[in-house]
Amino acid sequence: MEIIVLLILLATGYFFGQRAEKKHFKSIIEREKAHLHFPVVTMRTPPAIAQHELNAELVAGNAVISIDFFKKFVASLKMLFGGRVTQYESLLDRARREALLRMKEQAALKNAFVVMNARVETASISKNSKRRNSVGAIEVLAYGTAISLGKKIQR
Amino acid sequence: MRYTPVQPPEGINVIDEHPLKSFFILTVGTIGVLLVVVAVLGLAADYLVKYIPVEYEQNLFSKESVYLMPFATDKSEEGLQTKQYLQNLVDELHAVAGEEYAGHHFQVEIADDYEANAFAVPGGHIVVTKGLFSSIESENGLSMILAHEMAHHYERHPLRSTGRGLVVSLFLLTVLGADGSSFLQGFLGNTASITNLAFSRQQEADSDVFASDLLMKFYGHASGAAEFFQYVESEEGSIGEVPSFLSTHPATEDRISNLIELENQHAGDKKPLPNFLNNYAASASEQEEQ
Amino acid sequence: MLLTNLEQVPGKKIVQHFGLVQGNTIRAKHVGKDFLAGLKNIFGGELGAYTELLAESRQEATDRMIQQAISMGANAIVNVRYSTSSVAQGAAELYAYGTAVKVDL
Repeated sequence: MEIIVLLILLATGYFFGQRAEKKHFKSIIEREKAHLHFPVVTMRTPPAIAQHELNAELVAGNAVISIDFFKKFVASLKMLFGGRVTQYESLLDRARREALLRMKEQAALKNAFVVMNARVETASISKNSKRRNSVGAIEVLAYGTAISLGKKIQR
Repeated sequence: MRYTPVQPPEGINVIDEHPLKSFFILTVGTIGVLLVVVAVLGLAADYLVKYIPVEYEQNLFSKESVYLMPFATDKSEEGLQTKQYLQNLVDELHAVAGEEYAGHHFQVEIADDYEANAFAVPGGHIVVTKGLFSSIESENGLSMILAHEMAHHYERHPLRSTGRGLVVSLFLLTVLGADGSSFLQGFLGNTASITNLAFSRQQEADSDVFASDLLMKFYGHASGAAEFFQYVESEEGSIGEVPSFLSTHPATEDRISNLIELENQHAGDKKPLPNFLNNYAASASEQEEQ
Repeated sequence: MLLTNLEQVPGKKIVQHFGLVQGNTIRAKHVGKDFLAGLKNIFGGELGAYTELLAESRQEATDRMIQQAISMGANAIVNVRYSTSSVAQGAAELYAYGTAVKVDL
């Protein structure tokens, strides 16, 4: 009986999880291409532009992504043996790229031309994060300073 | 400083591999490792049980401990009479069992339950249900069941199963911690118990052999050895069968065919059951129908 | 590949930049080592297995970040940052990111 429940959950997790992941990656790659001209850097010193004042504004983007049952199950087996847990890697990559994209999109709305001093924070959200193998969902927050052109400097 | 837009290629931070591949490797690997570890730990527990003296087991699981089991004993006058009769039969069987088992003592109890069953409880207890008596026709058949449970005790099966269960749960606790994910716990636990079932089936088969030997020693022939299993087989048809590898007992057909062959080789006259026992069986099946 | 957590590569001029590059990985040790680390928790002291685990993971995250930078045609990464998060008990999640640049050598 328990085995049947497990198999159903695994099959459901596999089917929907794979579909959602493929779809999400496709959308991430498309949007990354669309925003490719927009740079995000970790440097803190803004470029000196002679003719304009610069406006700085904090921008942020976050994403919470959950793992599917299938990957969670495989990952918990993998963690018994040790080694690279690839099942969680795609989850983290998706969440980070999504959060960065949202930050970029927000910065683009403010007519910025660059996001400086970008930082990325990761937190795991689950019922009890102290428990072993308890990854349910992760939150990624990306933030930085959007730099846009201000008034022309009068000389 | 000029910005050059370049899209980094995929497959650096996420390795592209088929998820089912790692699933199969890991599942098969886990099951394999677990089966081996459980089998080894089980054999170790088995080995240690030999060093626990019978007297110590009987003190530990004293007369009272059988009352902690989840069944009520039959305390009616007929029940006590039957219990005395069974106790005498067990003692007579024990007397012919052989010198090496002299340290064992048996204590029969009758459980107030209508399903035909008998089981060995640690400490030399043999529990027989009320319903059992309608499944057999002769004293030989009854002796076969009692001898089978006695064989479990002679070979220390109740204690070995307990020890094995204990060792396996300790192992799972070490691997998973006290609060592993419940599905993983279920998965590993089930895999481990399948290994233990194999041991259990082996124990049943061994006890069948021991019991039929004891029957031969006691009566001089093997008639009646298959009685109970023939009854079980006639009942089983209505329930539907569990696949053999998921069962604690060997398939009934396999057990019967061996025993019937033995019966045919060493045929003899069966001893009838005493009258009061037939009455007791009849009243039990009447009660069940109500 | 030059890696630095300064804004500049000292003595060199950044001529071109490629934006953010990142590398991440998540790794675990087998249960035997987890169990021993659990015992070590009672006595205190360095958890060798986990030091090793985190070092391995950090190296892998860095390597992946460098791989991204190479694929873009960069020869240095400036302002590199590391972050560690505990996604699951017993597993180390490492993330490295920085700005890929090209410097005049």
